[in-house]
Amino acid sequence: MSLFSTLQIANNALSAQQLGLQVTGNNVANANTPGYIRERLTLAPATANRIGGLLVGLGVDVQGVVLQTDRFLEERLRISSADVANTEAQSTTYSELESLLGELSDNDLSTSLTRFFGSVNDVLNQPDNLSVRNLAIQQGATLSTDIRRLDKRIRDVRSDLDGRISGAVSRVNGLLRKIADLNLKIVSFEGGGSSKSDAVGLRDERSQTANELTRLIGCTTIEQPDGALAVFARGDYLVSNGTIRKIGARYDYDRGMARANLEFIDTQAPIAIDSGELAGQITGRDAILGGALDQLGNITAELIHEFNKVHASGQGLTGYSELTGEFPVSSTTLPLDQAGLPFPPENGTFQLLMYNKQTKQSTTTNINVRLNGMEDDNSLDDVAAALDAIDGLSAEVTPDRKLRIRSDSSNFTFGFANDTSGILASLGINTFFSGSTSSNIAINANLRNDPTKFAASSTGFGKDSKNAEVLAALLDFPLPHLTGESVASMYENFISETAQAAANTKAANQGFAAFNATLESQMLSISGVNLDEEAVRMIAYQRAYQAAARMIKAVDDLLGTLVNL
Amino acid sequence: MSFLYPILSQRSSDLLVQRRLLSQLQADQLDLLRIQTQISTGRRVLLPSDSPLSAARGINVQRILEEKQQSRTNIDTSRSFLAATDNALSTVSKLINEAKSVAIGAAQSTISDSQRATYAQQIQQSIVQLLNAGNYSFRGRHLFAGSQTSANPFNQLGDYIAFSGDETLLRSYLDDEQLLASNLTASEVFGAISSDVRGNRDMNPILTRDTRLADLRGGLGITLGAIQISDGTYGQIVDLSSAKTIDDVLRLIERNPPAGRKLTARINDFGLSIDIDDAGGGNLNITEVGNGTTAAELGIYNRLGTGTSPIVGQDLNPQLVATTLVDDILGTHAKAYIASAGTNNDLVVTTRKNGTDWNGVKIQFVDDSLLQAGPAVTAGNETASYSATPVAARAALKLYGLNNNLVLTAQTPGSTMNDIRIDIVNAGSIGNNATVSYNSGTRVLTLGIDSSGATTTQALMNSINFHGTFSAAYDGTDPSDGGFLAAASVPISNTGTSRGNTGRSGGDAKTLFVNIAPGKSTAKNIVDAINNTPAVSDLFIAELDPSDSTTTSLAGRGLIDPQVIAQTSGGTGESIDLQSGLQITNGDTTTTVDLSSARTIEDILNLINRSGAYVTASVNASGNGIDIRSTLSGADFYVGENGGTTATQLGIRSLHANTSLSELNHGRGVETTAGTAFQIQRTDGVTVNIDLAGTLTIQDVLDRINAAGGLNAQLASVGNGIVIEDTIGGASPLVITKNGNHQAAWDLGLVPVSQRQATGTGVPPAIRGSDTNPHEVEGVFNSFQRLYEALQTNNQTEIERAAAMLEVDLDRLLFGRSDVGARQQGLDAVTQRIEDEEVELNTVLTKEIDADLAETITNLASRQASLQASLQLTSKVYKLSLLDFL
Repeated sequence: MSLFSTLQIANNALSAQQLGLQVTGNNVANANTPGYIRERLTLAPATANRIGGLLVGLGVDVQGVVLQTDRFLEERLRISSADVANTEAQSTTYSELESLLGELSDNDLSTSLTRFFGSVNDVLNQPDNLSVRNLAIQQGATLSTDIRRLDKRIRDVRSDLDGRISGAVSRVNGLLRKIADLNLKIVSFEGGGSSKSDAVGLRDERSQTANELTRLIGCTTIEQPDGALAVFARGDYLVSNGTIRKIGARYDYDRGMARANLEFIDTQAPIAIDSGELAGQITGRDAILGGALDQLGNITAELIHEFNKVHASGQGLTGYSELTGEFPVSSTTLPLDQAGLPFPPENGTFQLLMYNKQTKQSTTTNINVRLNGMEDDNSLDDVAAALDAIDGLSAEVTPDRKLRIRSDSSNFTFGFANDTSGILASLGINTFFSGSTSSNIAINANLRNDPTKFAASSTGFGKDSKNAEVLAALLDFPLPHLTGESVASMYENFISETAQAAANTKAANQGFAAFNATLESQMLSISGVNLDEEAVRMIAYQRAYQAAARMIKAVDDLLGTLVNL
Repeated sequence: MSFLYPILSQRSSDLLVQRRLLSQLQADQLDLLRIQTQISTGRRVLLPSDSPLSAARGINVQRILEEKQQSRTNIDTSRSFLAATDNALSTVSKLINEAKSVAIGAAQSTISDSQRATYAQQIQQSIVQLLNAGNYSFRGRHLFAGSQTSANPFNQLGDYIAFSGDETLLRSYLDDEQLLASNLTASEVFGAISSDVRGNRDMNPILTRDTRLADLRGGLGITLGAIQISDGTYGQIVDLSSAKTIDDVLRLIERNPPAGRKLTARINDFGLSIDIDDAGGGNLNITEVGNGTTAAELGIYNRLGTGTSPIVGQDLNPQLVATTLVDDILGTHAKAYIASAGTNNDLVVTTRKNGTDWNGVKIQFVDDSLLQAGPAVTAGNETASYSATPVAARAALKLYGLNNNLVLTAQTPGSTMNDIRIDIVNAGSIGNNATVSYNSGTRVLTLGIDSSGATTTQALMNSINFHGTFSAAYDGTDPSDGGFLAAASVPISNTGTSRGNTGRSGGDAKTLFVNIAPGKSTAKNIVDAINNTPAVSDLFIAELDPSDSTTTSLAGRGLIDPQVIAQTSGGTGESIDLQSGLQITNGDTTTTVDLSSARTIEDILNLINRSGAYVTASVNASGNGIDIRSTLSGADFYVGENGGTTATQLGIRSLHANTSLSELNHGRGVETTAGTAFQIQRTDGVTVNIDLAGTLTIQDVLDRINAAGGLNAQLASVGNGIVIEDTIGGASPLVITKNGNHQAAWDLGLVPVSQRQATGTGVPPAIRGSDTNPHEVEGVFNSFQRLYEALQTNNQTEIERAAAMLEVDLDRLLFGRSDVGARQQGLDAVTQRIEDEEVELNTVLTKEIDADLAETITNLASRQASLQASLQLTSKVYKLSLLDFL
């Protein structure tokens, strides 16, 4: 033990306090840096020295600079922020969907529906007035356009979301690369745990990157003993030390549009994305918007088919001289209910009316549509043959497998009545709407060109308005095959289900956000810089430094005394 | 996003404080923004997800409100039409009242001719005004034209007024599901269509495979569900819910037999008949499934069972529809099932005409190869023929050697000579001779020929003809035989048994023959042969029996059994006579309606409707007959025969045997006071007195006259009226004389009014009476027109009748007006209700969707305060730092 050693102790103390001030300074400097994790200098007493029977301390030993954080909390925070991102993306999609639907305003689809059926009511008010019929057709066209527009807008939002999903691929790959690079650096800096110090800055950066990645794809991260961060998506690893598995997008066709699916490039297996912004966007694209498209499609299909079924059984002011069905069958010899028609017909009959323009009288012929599930069920060929057998009428199946009916003489026109099979609506004959779903609903061209074909009558051409009575009440008519639901209630259910789901998602998002904020506050309370605390530390280091300097002076004085002896 | 989260940590950091303060500020500002939007839009719920429950209610209420708006439009339109109708009706009511006073004035016998002429002129003016009212058009709609709103419904045609509209009610929705007509029909107000002639005969159409289930039970239809068919051991549930026609029902039943059994379902004229195969025994019974009523409604419910006998269903009473075939009414077709063993080879032959006359028609298959020496028919070329009279059996003898083929025809026509075998034996050396013997016991005709071939063809023919059982002639159908040569030899090589056979070639009266190739002809061939031979297909329809078909492709491909002889049965009723047609007299015009081209009821209606007779024909309300009604006001209207029975069969003859005498002469009736009503002098010079006491109908009168003897009284075969024909054939004229003041001869139209007697004309002489049962349109126009004519001719009876009719017209009109009034009141009530509902609904909507301003502004104030506090807090917190004190 000598004075020099004491001097050395003081010297160590000086550099330790200097380091302390540096760490404090760093903390103060980063007091407002987001994601910055507060550092602490770890000091320990140096190993004691045996002098004779005494054990004398050798001063301070700087152990390292460590980050003040809770790795588990960090992980929980990441998961939670992924949940927030997930629900937020869904909630955004819902908001967009809701504003597209525009319900509760005066320009929503329900208003369009009631306006259309109102115009059919007007036909009942003035069945004789052709312009009123025309107006009903126009309103039908407006309704069709509104439905198509809504369908298209939902598709637009979907395709925008899809673009974001496919666009996220390069972002994800970039983040994975960055984590892998940082892994390598951190491991080499920290010497694989041999150093007691954390690779300050690099770790912060990696933590930030991992946060971003988790927010995006909701992956899990586990820090390895050597300091490398492993990243997993359900069982599949994404980053292991310095290697990554790149992801890519593969396209398939869904609900009439291209759709990107994320997968591993190496194995082409789909990547499981359970949470995060991407999960929310995928849910939004497939379940929320896709589901909305499905429901809109169903409602439109019911509207088209139910309206057409009634319309096809009625007669307008004039008959047809030529008519080609809208929908082709897949086979002209298969039973009609298995021939791939969008709305399959059932067993029943319909009547064909031949109208003689000169005598102004019509002749009725029953046509059977036998669909009992037996081997002699009727095909389109059979129905065409039965129609063709009627005097003055030619019926054939066109090369593109549609039914064409023609009157042989300009004196005769034809029409239809009492269809219990739904075959006419199925084949798109004497229908009001054309198309089969929300993307292609329109007004039958025959009607658009000639409003006299609006089938208001049920007992003959231009006779009564009984068919229109049924049509006008169809919006609220309980449909037996939907267990009493009507088109109107279907639509209302769609809206309220959407609203309910949107509200649920919003609530879930708020819940997650609150939890996330709580975790964040916990995190901040651990890793955040407290300036007052740092000030106290600063004073402590300052004073310790002063004291050590004093020590040196004291030793110096002692040495001076010795030297001056 | 505004929410609170707990402070869980032990330590605070600057960033944490900062974050918390910021989030607090954010929360306050977001809330303020929301409140601001609420205040500026007045809405509490901006997007449905803000409050899904409220939004759902709100959206529903919004839609109902939009619908109410439409209801108001509907009501306003209806109201305007009803007001216009009321307006027109008040004019009509005024006119009727005026006409009534004219009629009462003119009914006094004291008024002068010039006064009456003035009255007549006044009524003529009124008719013009009535026409204007009847043709009143409002908002482009002729109010009283039914659905034919674009043209004037009433048009003057000489002395008559024709109505060209219909009786359609134009209805629109008032509210929810209430429909209200905005028009009155011309029949309701003006009585523009006559109420007669209502069909007086049930057409009783038969059940066919195509009959729709909805048309059964007089139009009530069938409640479709499942039924259970059991053989007593195994039950099978047959789901009939998808069935729409009788054909579907029959097929579904046959397709679903109890396990291991076979069911045959057929139509039994008016009902169904379900049979089970006899081989399996058991007890066939049909029950409902659950609480269904399908089996009972189909008339085949039978819980107790019938053993293996068929369950024969009750009459399903199909209603008359446009597509009902004229062949399918007024009776049933006779029918024969021709069943051969095996499947896919049974057929059904149905007669086209109804009636018992067609029962007992035999259907025989004839082996064509037995009939001639030439080539026989091949499969696919079968021929069919029908004979109402007996046909003689015949057999060809195709003999060896040239120029000698013979055909033998039985001398006795009928089936008794069928299946007779022809043998040729060696009769020894008999020279140019032949022996003939017939054994009726063994049914063999034996011909003996010369052993050395000396027998010539001529000799053989002579012998057969001489024997008398058959007549023989040369059979030239085989050209290779070279033509007839009397001296041609019949060589001895011809001997042998069964050289010929009459087979089934002979037939009794009413036999349908089908010449076939046995062992080759299929059921389908037979069907084609019958249906493709015009003379036969006019009388019969052949069909494959679907019950015997295994698959569509195999149906009818099975070989028929040539030995089967079937006989038709089940024909009842009568066939309608459509050849002669109808005679419709309406006003001055008599129209003959030719119905010969009609195939369906609709054709009949169309032909009548387009005949130009100003009538409208339709199926009656109960769906079992035809109504034919006049649309020509002011005209007398009759429907009579045109030489046949069409009108009577259709039940639309205006004067028929059952017409009550009291209806005649516009309801004035026929005098039937006891004592001689009129006298008829027969051609033998004898005069008979006819007393009509106690007669009630036309038939009673006819019976009375016929009872006198020597006379045949009946309804005219052309037109209408009573015709009395002489049956004695004497030299004196046939004369009918009115007896004193007894009006009957006039009332019955036998003697022209104002004459004393009428003389028979034609050979044999007949008195052709006129029809004194005119029908007319009982309406305003008719009354006015009749009054006008009566005033012109000074016919007091008619004036009084017109006055009485005007009274009825006025009642009808008042009823119509009160109907309009009631509807208008109803509209007012609904409007009131809708207004109330709208207020209610708007309240709900406001409550669910709209912002409560007071509440919102209070919220605003509190949020403001909160933000202010947050801001102050922030500045305070940031001022504090230890560094300040160092």
